[in-house]
Amino acid sequence: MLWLQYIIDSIGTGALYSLMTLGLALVFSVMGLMNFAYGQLVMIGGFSMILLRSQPWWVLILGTILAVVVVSLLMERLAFRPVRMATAMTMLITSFALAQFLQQSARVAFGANPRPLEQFSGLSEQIEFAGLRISRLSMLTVVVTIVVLISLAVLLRRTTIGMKLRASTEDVTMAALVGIKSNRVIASAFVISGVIAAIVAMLFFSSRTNVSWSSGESIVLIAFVGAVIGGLGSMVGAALGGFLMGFVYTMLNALLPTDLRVFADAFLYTIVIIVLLVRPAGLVAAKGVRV
Amino acid sequence: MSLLEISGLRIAYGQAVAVKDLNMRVEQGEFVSLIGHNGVGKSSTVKAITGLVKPSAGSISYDGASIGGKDPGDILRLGIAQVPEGRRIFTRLTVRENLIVGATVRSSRAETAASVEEMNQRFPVLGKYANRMAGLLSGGEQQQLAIARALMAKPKLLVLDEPSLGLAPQIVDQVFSLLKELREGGTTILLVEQNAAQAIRACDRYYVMRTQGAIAVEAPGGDQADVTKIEAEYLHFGKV
Repeated sequence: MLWLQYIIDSIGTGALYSLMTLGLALVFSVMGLMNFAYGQLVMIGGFSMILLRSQPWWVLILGTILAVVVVSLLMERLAFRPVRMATAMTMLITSFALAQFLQQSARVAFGANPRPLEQFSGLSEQIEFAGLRISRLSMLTVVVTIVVLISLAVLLRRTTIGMKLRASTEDVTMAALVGIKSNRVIASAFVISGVIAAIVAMLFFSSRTNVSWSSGESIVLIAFVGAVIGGLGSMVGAALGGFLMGFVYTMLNALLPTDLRVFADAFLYTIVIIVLLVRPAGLVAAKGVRV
Repeated sequence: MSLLEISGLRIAYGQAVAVKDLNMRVEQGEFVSLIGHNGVGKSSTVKAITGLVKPSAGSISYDGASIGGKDPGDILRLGIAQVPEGRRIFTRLTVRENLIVGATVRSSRAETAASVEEMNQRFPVLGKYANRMAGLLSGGEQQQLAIARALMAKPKLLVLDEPSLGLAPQIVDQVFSLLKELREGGTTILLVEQNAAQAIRACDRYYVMRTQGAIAVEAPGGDQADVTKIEAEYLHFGKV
């Protein structure tokens, strides 16, 4: 029974990490950019929650999504579009610079100390079922992740913009030759990535008591590693890779002997290294990825 | 006035000059072949026409308006579609989706659906495998898809870069008879080929290109053309 409890706890974290990874992987697969400023979008979402905390819940949700999407679009327009034709290294360094800029701006605006975020009382409640405890937040996270995954699949598979996104992902020159406007396609990828980052922010910070200017750092690292082990360029791989990161990490924290628990990260990344040794292209290898 | 008129075209990649001073034209309704060895500047010429590279000098005019240096999407909107070298179909899109994406420059959904139907009639194999990933098609089927995708934009001028490359001889014959059919239907065709014999016989007029886009021969094509002489003089290896 204890095992089942661990698994349930781990699924919640896995779902959250899976979302984080998707937002990062989507932009990568469309324009070959590993956007290390992505974690800062989640951080901005957190501060938006603090600012909107006293508003009705739907204002908080829509306002946070709007704020993050606007920043995501500005990122694309002001920082990444000018260097789109440059090398992958230039784009990568641009994203590091942007991440620093956003972090330091948040530090100036909100202070160096973490800002408290009042908890949402309803979400932290635990539901007991057949001897198992499940927090409402964990259930919500799983449900939201499933909804986002399905929506993203429908968007990519069933809509014209999804078709254009996939075409651009595979062959950007050919996409231009059939008249697909790459600016529009890339901007829409940043919009989707922004929506996902905002959702991640709301789920992530609902289980925290504060938001800090440095909150985004660990998030982008998890998303990056999740995308790499899942297989760069593959959405299914990203969802799977992110899920496994969260799942394994939480399981390690539960199962490792108390003395070793502080080394959970080391164990996790050892597993990551082993996965990459066995499958260097990731669990779900995508064809024709530009790196 | 010719439909496509290229004069004094120069294409350079940094220091490397691919095409030095090219003059050629394609008349409305004509089937023109551009033949020559690998690396003489044929593909660069195609890329300049469809907007993938910007000319460093000279002019390309289409239907009386200058198109040199315009975006590929805008050039396609004006009516020039390209079937690129190596086909470059979207392998992870279905056959049907490849066709739909080909109609990006046209707005109406109903029109696009009608054109997909039309392509399925013309190329039965595309209708048969409509929901299959395009990467699973054979080489010949992929070439049909690449041509059909270009036709989805309803081009007035179709530019094909080495469509016979890597295909079995019977399939190559099919591609050529399709091109002749399209020309009968009123589409203007510019065909870039290394396969000189068939390209010369199928066309109305042809150019032989030598290094840096220099035109060595301009002559009428068709069954009467002396293919053997052209091949012996200009296209045999070691004689370039």
